[in-house]
Amino acid sequence: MGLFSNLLTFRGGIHPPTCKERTNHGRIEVAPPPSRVIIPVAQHIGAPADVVVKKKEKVKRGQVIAAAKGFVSAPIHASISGTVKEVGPAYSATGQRVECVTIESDGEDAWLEGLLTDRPDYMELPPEELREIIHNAGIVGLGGATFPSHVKLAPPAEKPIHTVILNGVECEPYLTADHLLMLERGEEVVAGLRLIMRVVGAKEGVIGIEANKPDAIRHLKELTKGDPNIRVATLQVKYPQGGEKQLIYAVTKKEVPSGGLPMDLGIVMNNVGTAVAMFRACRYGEPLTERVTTVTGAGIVTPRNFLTRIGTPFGELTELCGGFNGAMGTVINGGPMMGIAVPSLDVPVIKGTSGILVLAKEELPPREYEPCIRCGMCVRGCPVQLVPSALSDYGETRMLDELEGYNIFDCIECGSCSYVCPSKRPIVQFIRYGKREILAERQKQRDRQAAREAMAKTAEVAA
Amino acid sequence: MIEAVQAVAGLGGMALAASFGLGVAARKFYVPVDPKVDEIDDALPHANCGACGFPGCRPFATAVAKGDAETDGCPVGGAGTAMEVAKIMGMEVVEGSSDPLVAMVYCAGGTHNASDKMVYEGPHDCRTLALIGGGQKDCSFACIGLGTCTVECPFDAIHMNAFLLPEVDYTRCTGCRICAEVCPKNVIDMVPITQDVHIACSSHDKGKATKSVCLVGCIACNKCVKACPVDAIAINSDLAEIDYTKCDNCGECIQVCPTDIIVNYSHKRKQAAELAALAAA
Repeated sequence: MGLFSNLLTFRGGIHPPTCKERTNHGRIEVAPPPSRVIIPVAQHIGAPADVVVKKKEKVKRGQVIAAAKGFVSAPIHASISGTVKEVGPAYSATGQRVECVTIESDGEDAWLEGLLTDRPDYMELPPEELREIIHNAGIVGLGGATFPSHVKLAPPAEKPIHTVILNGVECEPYLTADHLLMLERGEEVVAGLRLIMRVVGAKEGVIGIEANKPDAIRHLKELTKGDPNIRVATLQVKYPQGGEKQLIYAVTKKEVPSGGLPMDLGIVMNNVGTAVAMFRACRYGEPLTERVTTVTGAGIVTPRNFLTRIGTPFGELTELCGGFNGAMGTVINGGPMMGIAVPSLDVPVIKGTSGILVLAKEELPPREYEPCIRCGMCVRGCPVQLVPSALSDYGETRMLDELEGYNIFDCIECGSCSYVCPSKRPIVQFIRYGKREILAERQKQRDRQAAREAMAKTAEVAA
Repeated sequence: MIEAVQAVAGLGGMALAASFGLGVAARKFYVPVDPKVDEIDDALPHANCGACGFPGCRPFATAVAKGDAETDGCPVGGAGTAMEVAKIMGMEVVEGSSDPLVAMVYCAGGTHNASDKMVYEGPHDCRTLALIGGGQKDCSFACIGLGTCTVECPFDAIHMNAFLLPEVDYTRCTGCRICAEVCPKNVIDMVPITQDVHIACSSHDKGKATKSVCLVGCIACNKCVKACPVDAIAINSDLAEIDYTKCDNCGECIQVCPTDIIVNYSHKRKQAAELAALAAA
């Protein structure tokens, strides 16, 4: 490593303290099934699922409680067996009140009969069938973006996929869930990679891992030794190395075009956790009802990694870790860079919860921001080569045309700019605001155009 | 002496030549302007607020003259301006067709009534706060209370009260809709100024959920619906709504409402009317 490191990476980026030493050893502990789970129906990008169970209905683990609505959507399954206690709005880990299904456990934790089927020959199944299994298992991107996986695995015919990249970078500070998963379930990670390669018809498989996980790199290199099609890429420790476009650039030296997708380059990327979930769905018929989550931070007594059920309240997991250290500051769903603070400890672990980070009060000084001093730190740190200082100024003053001129929609909202800003400006927040306002403005224009056309039509009819 | 004559003759000659050139250019490059545009422009209030959807009064006047905009497209000028513009456009005018509109805030969840779920540190703008978990209040429909409407109002007609709720100044509100459009939670809407009785809540949560986050939110108990003698109130997905075309401001619903979320704004209307009379006198 060091200054003249020859490890793969991208341009820009920042070096926050990784803070991973708290949890990057030991084992993933299996959290006992909770007595109550709260399962939001909107846990993925796309249309929220439709609730298909009623209050007081008995459900088994793995039973569909909300069905996918449309192609870009994913079904939601019960993660414990028990009785539906409530269907209604509750806080999700995203801080929003959304429709949730609350299930009270019957203590049996029984799977739905006939659901689990061992398919040793799953690799023989046609890709369409595998894709269908993955869709029905409710699998979404477990890295945090929660994009429905079957959509990613269905590239149009004119965009053939030649490379599948598994993302084991885990560049968010504090989080170690993917790290331990690669160590403990390396075989399943590799099987998942082969499965994805089969579904999309790719020849090459790459597993990208940051250099601060040497044990995981060694382990996966060992497991893939005899396979000429799969290689393990060691990446420089830098944030946001695990961003989709950043990792693709680091591994292939190709840039995803502005506004484009990795499939434009013939690449599909998935998180290692997603690969494991896909493997388990195709091999054992297991729908996505649990995930690995890091519970960590200075505010936690004994930080650790859990294999926990989707819908487990945050409070139960922090209890299992021995509770809080002194005055609790903020509890964050995800990592410190892109995570979102949660409003209460009753919010549930959702499919995208890669970590629960409890910051101590003294780690969070009040944040007053000041005007931009044009120092250019954010420009150097931006991993997509934008000019965050200009974007934040134009966002603050609501100059939407200028924002578009500065390619605001290429921003991946990684937060590197806000992290380095000496004026402590909430740059990402202004950018997110700008994006939303531009989309709202476009919608308004479309509505006006439609109204005008309708008016012209009625006038024509009248004439 | 001769120098003076030369100077006067030289400059005078240049002036003549230039004026001749200008005269030719004025004829040659004349852009015909519809005289109606000027007339309409004169009739408009000249707040240049953009409420009509055009960048200002002149572009709106141009659009009306061309037929691209309705003659009553200026919400600020109200019925009077609409009539004048219609007359200029040679349309028939029906007098007294509608009451002027004013803004109404459909939320009573100020800091004294509604609970917060988080502490926010960031830009002082409702629209940026709304992007984080839909706002800092527990009620996902509530007014955020950072006062973006008060900043954006071109007429200084809306102000935050002590409980961080916007209050409309009916002597100034022109019903231009700008506050309603900038509000990320859509708690502001336009109502006829003659309308006194309003249900000041936007929450579509079920009664129990509303009760847990707000002291005054509408719990959809149906009492007002039953009490209304003219059947003007209906429950629309767990929120009582008044049909303003039917309501006759009798106030029966106010008596029965258990959370006191139905309000009577008649005093405000009176206040506005008095001030208007004062201004006219």
